[in-house]
Amino acid sequence: MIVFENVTKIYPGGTKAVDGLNLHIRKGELVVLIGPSGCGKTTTLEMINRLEEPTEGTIYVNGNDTSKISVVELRRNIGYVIQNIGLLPHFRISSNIGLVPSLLKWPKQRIDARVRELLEMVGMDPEVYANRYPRELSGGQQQRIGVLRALAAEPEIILMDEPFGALDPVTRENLQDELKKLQARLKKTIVFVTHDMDEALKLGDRVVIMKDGKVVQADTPEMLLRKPADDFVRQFIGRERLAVKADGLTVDDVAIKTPVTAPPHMGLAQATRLMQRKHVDTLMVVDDDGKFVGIASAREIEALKRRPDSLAEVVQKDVATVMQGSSAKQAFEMLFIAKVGVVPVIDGAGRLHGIVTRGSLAEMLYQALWDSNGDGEAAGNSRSNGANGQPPAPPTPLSPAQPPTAPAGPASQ
Amino acid sequence: MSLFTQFWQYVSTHPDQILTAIREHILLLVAVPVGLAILVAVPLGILCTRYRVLESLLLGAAGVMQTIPSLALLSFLVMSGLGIGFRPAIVAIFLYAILPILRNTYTGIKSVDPSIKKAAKGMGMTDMQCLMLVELPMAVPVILAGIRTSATMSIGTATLAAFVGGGGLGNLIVTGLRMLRDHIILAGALPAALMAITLDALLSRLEKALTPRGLRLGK
Repeated sequence: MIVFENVTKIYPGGTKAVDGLNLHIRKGELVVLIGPSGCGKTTTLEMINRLEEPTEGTIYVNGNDTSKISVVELRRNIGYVIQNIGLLPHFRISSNIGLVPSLLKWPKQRIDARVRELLEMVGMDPEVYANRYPRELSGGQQQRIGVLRALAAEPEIILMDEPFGALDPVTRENLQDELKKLQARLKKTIVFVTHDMDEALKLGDRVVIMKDGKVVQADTPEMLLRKPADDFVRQFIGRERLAVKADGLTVDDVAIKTPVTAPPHMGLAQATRLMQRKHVDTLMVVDDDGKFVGIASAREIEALKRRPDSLAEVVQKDVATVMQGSSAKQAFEMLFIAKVGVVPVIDGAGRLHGIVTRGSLAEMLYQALWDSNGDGEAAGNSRSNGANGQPPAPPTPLSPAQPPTAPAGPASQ
Repeated sequence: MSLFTQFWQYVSTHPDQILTAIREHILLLVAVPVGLAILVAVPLGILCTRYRVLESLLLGAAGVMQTIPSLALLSFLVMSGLGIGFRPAIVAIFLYAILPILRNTYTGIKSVDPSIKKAAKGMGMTDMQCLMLVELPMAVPVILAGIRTSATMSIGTATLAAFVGGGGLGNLIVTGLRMLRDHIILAGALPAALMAITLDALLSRLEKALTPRGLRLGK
């Protein structure tokens, strides 16, 4: 969809903002560009719609060299959202949203219909808002309109330059959630610049970490957390996100010590029955030496058309794990930021020692808040690994022993 | 006889003379030169925002023009071949009216929030569309304030036109001064002052009325 080929940008005065950049952004992907200020992320973004021209190299959009397309044409086909919103204060909301369609000379009726549709999509009543002026709206509402304006002419690509950076934290979270929902539905190709790591990990299908105009690492949020490429990335992701805190809780404190396990050669029917009996939706697949192999989930098995014979064929091996002794925070970050359902705890030899699920957090909270003198041992034992975190979880019954703080699921959103 | 009775007597016995002076003053010495100044200064102001060279050149030249004393400028114009009468007066007032309008047009456009310009550009507006749809409408209040300054100022400058035979209310003032007749001076000065105050008020209302609604809402 968008391809950078050896792109370099040198500003007059000699600053090298982008240095030999190669990047391939796939269709329907939300890619986040992140890095310290001056790393070239905004320049990279602005070269896509030619607000900046590359000094060297070529950028292709949909296979076309952008330098060969009329700049006005190019921009009208790419949605653009900026940090300072940039709504036209003298235009009504309807005209602001309908701006690009009107530049593209859509008939008036079609523009009106599109404006209504978009306002309704974000839950803003067109009767109330269409005729207002931007200054009559709150900052959060204004940036919603900014996003709608970018979507109006149905571009395939949308560029967002720190769109939520100037908003208060609550509004920012709301808009991030809304963007996630919109993106799940619209599947646009989005290039998103931010300097907020939480935002990047939350929104990005892929996160591109940049430094001095170069890509340091481009990976999924999960892989970034699991395998930071170097010290810079590790530091940038944030010490508190990765490092072990000596005085903090470790995964061993919160893990369920006796997860439901199964050997790889177990038959599928048998495995399904085991899950039903233990009231869990995932099995930890462990080989005969106690080494962790991977995870088999009921959902995955059900989704298969052809029923393979044994677990070995359905096991998911590419799973984020944590080492024994790591901070509990790290495991929870995987659960809530990388959105994995369950985090296995392994030792240096790769043996499975337990698992951390969202239920573990609920339990920890329960103990901390209401059961301070209770025996953690009893609570930790015989707990099933009802990996209830999988968002659209099938009606898997939670373990009956689930503490009363069960609504950990929604609280994590 | 008090000054006021003398004044009133003069006004009621010379109504034609005073009305003609007012008409000349407003139409010939204010409306025409300020109108011309708008036609010239607004486009020049826009050009200044587009070309760096013009920016310093035109704004500098207009600034220098403003510093020349008006009576001196009138005399230069008379000597430069325009002769005496309305012509040098109109030219002088026109030259004075240019700077406020030119400078306000330039500042008005330049002070449009850069993020709004960037958004407009990024969405695919041509430079012309950006100017006509975004920059000019947003600069309207500032440009109108410049026109108001020019117009009000011109009423004052226009009274000097009488020294070069340019007519207007200045005629009455100059006559009164020569004859040492205070009530005649007043017959010229009072309407001129009232005119300036009224015009300023009117233009200030026009300014508000012409400001796009969305901009009047404050931040």
